[in-house]
Amino acid sequence: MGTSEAVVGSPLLGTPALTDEDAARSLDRSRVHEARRERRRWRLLWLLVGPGILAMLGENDGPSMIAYASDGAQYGLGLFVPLIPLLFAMSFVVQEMSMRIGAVTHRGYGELVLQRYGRAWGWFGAGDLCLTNLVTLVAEFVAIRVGLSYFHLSAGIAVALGLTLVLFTLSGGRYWRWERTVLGLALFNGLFLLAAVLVHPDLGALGRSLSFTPLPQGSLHTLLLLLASTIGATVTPWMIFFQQSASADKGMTPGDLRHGRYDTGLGALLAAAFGIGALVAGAALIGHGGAGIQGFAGAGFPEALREVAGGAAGTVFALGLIEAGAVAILTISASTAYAAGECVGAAHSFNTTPRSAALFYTANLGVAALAAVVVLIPGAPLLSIALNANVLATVLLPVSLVFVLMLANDRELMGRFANTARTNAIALAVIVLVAVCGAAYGIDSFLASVGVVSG
Amino acid sequence: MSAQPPGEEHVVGPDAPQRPLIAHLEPDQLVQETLRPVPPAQLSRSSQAGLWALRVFAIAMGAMVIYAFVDSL
Repeated sequence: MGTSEAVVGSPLLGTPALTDEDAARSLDRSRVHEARRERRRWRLLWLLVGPGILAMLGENDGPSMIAYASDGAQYGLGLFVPLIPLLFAMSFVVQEMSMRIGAVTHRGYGELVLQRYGRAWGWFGAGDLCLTNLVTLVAEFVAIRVGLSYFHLSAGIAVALGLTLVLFTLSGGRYWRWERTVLGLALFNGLFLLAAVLVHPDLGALGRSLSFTPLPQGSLHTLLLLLASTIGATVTPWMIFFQQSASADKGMTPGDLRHGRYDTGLGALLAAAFGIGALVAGAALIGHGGAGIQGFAGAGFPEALREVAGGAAGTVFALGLIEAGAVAILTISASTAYAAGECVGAAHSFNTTPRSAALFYTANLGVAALAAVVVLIPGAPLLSIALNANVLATVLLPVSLVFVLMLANDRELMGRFANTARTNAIALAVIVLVAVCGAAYGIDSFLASVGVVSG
Repeated sequence: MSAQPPGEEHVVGPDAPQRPLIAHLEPDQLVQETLRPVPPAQLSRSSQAGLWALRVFAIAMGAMVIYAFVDSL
């Protein structure tokens, strides 16, 4: 980790040296202390929310919302309405651990894995993250393109919009500014809920679906793909990297853990509600050719919704896709930048300048630019890339989950804030479920592709 | 690592003389402190074996998904 430009302190007086990064974080913390001292509860909550909501709503990204809408259009509401909140509850367990580790150790996931468990594991995690992030970022640009094409705007504009947003949010040199800007954008994920209202759903069918029925029809392969991609839409390696690093960058401390849990829980609730919104909107297309829509092969869903439920539903869904892609580009790029800085040992904070944290800013913009280039390649297999992004993330997820669990149990690092036996039991169940679903899908896909079983 | 009361005054940045700043950070939160690496964990043989199994799992599963993806193009 590097230091920021100005280092001021007085060793003779025994005061620690402060960098610009410390100063910016200190200013943010002074507001937290003031709110706590004056017992202004809502102000305190406002100051401390951020990383949890961003991780959860960032994961309600373009491919995820398309996947939910596809599930609804193809299979209806059964299974998915109760499954989505269940998976976000699972995500809450993982993200709470990430937040807690970041707040207690003030360090990111990448550097802790690297320093505690060796360079090989650190780089393995970072490599896994970069690969899945790049693939996912491509899918995010495609989602923006799908949304914009509804308004007859080109792929070039989608790329320009995504990269401009990254540049704009990076321009402040403050974590607080970055977080609040992205948080403001992320709340527009609620457009999917509005889209669900606009399609006038059958509330009776919505209620009945809470019993996990009717189960989707189809082959075992189809069910595994659905399960693996839905898990991949709720828990991913980038979320773990992001929330831990962002919690540390925000300056959270063990005294903020309760509010960190509110933040993560609120994020999970909003993400589940908005995800169900996309599912319900997609379900309006069942029986109207919705099952045949290949989400990324053109402006499938917004156009189809306009035909079935009116122009407002199509427009809101298209705007939702643009928002989902844009916010995910910002959060996923940030997680890549945090990981790059942590693994190389360079400065990695939004409370720095591009000059003092060149790698952090270059990685942030660079990974988004690289994904943008892929989107602009004529004839690139974007549909396959987008649909496989979540599944690949799910298959590689157990590695990240195991290390989060190990770090959260590391009493040398966590002290009295280490996991309880109950948290460990739930986290282990989550890891086993994710590993089994990912492995079953991976093996089934492989056997189908070599012709041993039918796909 | 509990919350700290307002600390001493520090003056930082180009407009430093005009901008007194109270440090509200915990000591281990300072950049200078986080530069110090944490010591490596002492893992038991069974933990090490478990981690190797995890690595094999991830590589095998990743390879299968990538193969299936490439094959489907």
